[in-house]
Amino acid sequence: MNGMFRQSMTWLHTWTGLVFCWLLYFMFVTGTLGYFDTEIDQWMKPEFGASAPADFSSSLAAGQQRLAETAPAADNWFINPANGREYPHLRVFWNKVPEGGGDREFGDEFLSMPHGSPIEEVRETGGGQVLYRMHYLLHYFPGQMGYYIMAIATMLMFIGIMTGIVAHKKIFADFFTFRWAKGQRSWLDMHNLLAVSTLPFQLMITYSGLIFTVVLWMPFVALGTYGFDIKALSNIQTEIFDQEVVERSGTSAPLVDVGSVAQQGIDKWGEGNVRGVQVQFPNDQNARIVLQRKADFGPISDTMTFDGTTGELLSETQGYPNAALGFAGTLIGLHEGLFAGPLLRWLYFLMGTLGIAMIATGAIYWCVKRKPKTYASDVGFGYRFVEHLNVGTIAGLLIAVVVYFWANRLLAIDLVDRADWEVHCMFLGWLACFVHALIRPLDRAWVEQCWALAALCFGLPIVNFLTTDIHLMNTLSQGNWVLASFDLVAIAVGLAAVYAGRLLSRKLVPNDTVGVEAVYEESPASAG
Amino acid sequence: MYVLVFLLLMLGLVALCLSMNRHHRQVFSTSVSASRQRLLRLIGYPVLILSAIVAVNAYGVGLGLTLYTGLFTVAMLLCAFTMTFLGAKKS
Amino acid sequence: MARVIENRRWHIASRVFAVILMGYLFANGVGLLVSLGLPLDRVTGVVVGTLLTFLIWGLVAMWAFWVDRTRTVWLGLIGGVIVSGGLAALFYFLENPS
Repeated sequence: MNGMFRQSMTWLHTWTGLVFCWLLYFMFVTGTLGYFDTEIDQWMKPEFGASAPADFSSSLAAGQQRLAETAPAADNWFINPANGREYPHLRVFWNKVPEGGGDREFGDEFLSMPHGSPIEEVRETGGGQVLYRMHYLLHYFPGQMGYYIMAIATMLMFIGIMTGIVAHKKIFADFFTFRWAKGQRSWLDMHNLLAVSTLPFQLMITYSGLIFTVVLWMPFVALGTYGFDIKALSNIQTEIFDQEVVERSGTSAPLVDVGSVAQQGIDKWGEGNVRGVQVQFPNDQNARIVLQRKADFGPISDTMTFDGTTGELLSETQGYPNAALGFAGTLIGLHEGLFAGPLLRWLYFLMGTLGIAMIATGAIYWCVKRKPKTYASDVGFGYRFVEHLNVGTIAGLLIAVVVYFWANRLLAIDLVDRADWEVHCMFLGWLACFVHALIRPLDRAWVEQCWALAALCFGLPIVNFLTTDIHLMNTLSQGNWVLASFDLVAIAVGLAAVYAGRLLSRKLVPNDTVGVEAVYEESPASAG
Repeated sequence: MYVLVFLLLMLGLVALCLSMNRHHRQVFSTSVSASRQRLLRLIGYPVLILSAIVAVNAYGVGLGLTLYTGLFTVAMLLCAFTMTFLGAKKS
Repeated sequence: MARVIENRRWHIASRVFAVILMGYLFANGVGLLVSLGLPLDRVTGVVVGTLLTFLIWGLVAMWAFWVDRTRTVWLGLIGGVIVSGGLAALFYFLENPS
């Protein structure tokens, strides 16, 4: 029975994996880049200037002044002074539900200090944020559709991990095992090794990814517990935090100086530990000023709430109100990794990269395992399709991402809808890779796309050199490692592509038997 | 401190790796004796636990364990690929 | 499962459908039961129950492709939905008598 169980779990792992591997690959590539989203932003907005630290309370004053001019009647203001990575510059944000209802209006600006004037976008770009958003929204899908698709993919990833664990024959005996140049054995070893070594990360990232989707498609536990009374449920946040519900009074009243209120937060939490300020119903009698503390893990952190007209402290919350929410919040915090410093951020990036490789090796192993023993045998459309789709996805998506960066440098600065065109270039590049993968012989397609990737990666620092002044010679001599790393990573990916291309082009030599590996003792059930 | 955590992790994982027959053979060309296996395990597990304690002590529970997990992955892969490399040189 | 399922597309399709529909309902049923049945405050119950739904759904998927007969999958899940949902409703009305 034990053997039967493992066989059926291998079967499930194989097929859920195969159907969703390309989507998951896309999710992992864009999500991994998302760990460096604001760094990519910096690279894609060379005119934007480096992060400039500025005095906290004068930043708040400048933010308050700007919002008072642009959005005096907003429902919420958010002011986040520059804090390095997360907010490279002072950021002001407002939103408002329009009088007649409908979608919220909002405004979002970066201000340069000390004058508090808005920073103009010279080069319209989606930046790293667009890449990061793709990992849970896809692109080109209307409304919430992409979100639903990615939520389903995440669930399948979760099933894939669970079945993968139980299907693995000897996790501990193979803990350090990677057998080189042994055909399909090597691919399976690599897939297993990458999966086992990153297992805590994979479990965390997938389960927390599911938590993000709770509201979307798992609302019934909450609804049912509240007797399907949606109105009661909508107050759940105030129930959790034991907050008062504030509503607009309609009587206008002047707002106190936000900076002086924030001083109380600095006194309590220490210098540099106030992440930002939210003002609810500014210029109203019931205005509230909420200070948010810099969080360790997760989206929920300590807050202090003040009366907006008197500046009097009304209430405080501390951390997570209960253990279950703390667990969920910590997982979400770990997923986002906002707390990570440079070392941990690179580790996150590495974990993501290993995840990408895990999915890629899994997809390739499916093909290698089913590779026909002789070239004459008929393999069918499905197999061929998967083989070529693998090329177009695994190599093609990486090419597409680099094309996105090229587009950022080469598209005319004054092009209409420039940010959209960057993304169009990325997906057109990807489409070209798919077409190329389908019309070329398989081995040739792999090699050629590896060379294309290498060329584009090596070209990127050169284009950067020709079009901007944040090229390697400047960034390295100034010790600007954030921007230098971008070009260096591009070169590293290029080198990896060259290595892969050389390895693969050896297979092109005739009389080579690499493609006709002997069949190893594998359970026949997973052959499907 | 993370350098120390990483070095301890490497030490522990290499010890555990060598306590396995397959990998001992890759390095020394002989099977691992029972007494040496016991010794290597006696080094490996406590050192892994020790490095976790060092991490938690230096960075706190949350950050410490996160960092530990990440470095564990790196150390484990490094160990595995070194074994592959040594094994290939042997044969 | 592996024995039965080879070359039997309809059994696979049927099980996939069972997992998606009945598995979803069952996962939510058990989540609700946990939320309402365990002596937790309302918010904690909701969070714990909801977090469990994904785990349960995943386990249901694994179970559904392990069991020998497709009929067992359907009957088991329908039974599970009725039992978990019924018990959850019972707990709800015990706590909120109206």
